[in-house]
Amino acid sequence: MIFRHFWFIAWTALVVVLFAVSSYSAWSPFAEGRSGGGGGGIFVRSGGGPQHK
Amino acid sequence: MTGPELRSLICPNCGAPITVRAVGITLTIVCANCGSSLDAADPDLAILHQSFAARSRARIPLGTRGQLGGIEWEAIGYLERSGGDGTWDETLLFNPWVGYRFLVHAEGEWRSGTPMDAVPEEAGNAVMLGGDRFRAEEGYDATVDFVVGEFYWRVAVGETVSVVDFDGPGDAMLSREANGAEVSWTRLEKHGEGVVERGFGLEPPEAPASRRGGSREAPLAKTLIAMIATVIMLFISIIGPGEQQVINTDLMPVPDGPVLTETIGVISLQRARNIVAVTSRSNLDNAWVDLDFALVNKATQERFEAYTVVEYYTGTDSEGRWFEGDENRKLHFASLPRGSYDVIVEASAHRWPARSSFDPPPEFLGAPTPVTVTVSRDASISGNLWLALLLIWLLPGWQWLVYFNTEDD
Repeated sequence: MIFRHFWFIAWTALVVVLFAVSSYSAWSPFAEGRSGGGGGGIFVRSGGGPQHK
Repeated sequence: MTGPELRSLICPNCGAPITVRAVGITLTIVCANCGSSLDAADPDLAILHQSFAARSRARIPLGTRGQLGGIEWEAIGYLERSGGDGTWDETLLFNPWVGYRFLVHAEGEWRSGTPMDAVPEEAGNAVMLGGDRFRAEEGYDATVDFVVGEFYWRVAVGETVSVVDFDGPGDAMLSREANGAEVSWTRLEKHGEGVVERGFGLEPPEAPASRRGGSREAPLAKTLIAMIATVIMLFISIIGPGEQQVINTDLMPVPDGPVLTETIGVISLQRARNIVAVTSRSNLDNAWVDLDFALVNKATQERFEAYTVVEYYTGTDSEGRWFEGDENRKLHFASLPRGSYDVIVEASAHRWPARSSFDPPPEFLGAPTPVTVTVSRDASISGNLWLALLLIWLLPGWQWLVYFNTEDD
């Protein structure tokens, strides 16, 4: 089974390791502000009135 | 079938008699008794490879003659292959006047495979053959797990080829197999239920199933792997001190008034890297408040900035009353180094629609719009977990979808 699903196991292990590293280093691509610059979250838009038409 | 040239030989490994049916064409013979791969081109049948795993397990016993499509065929070779999360077997049929056919058996379904001389014309993610379009499926590697009999190409257990199947009109399929620089094409036609069994005098068919080499098994192993990974990540998520609120204060910016700048407190971060969450809550009426936050390290003066907006608008149109905006927002600072930080806010409130030049001057602007700001340390960002879960569950989820859709067929 391990050989047959080698690539899926490797992919899953990579994702788990990246998740663990991001948790340990308190890093997230979803943060609006972070060390090293790059602030401004992808979900935040400026005010200025409604989008309603 | 009359007139084929036969050649009787003795296996040099075990002494069992071997009959070569396609003399002059067959390259490899696998002894049905001991499993040795023999070089058919060698007068002494040189042993290419010894395998003692051979058994009489061919789905159609070698040497059996049967009728398919009005032609009499003889089963001369049998191999089992796996790949793309599926297993299947292929029986090589031979007629000295017609040539070769494959009988591919996958999960109870039979297809005849005809080796093609012509190469289909490429058309993007598909190929064209005789005016028919065949759409490419996802490729996979197919490995020979068992082989017995004679073949017109060199074949051995462990041999792997890259396969791409192409879906055509009706049940027609094409299969492209590439082994290094050598590419071969096969046209596959589905047989009706029981046709092959009747033609070769086999047992009645098993439960119907699916295509050659296709991934039609329930992805139980991948699901198990994904579940283990999910448990590990949930465990990683819940360890840690948990979110602690440090600052809770009210800001009072005046709509269309001056920008309000305040240092609302100090937050001390103890861990090597930290996440700080800032929540802004308001109760607005056709207004928005721009909020610029800055965390300034008191020792190094290093500055981290983030922006958010709280807003709420309402009105009426031809469809009735509408509402828009989010009065409560949460933002995060990530990867903040250990240290003590001043938390500075710049708040700028605005009304909607904007004031006209006839509106009263700023000293008569009216009541401020309160915004409650809370700052917490040791926060977590759920987006990381959701993204990781998506990356892990995408493939098994898709395979479950295919599995259930296939079952429904």
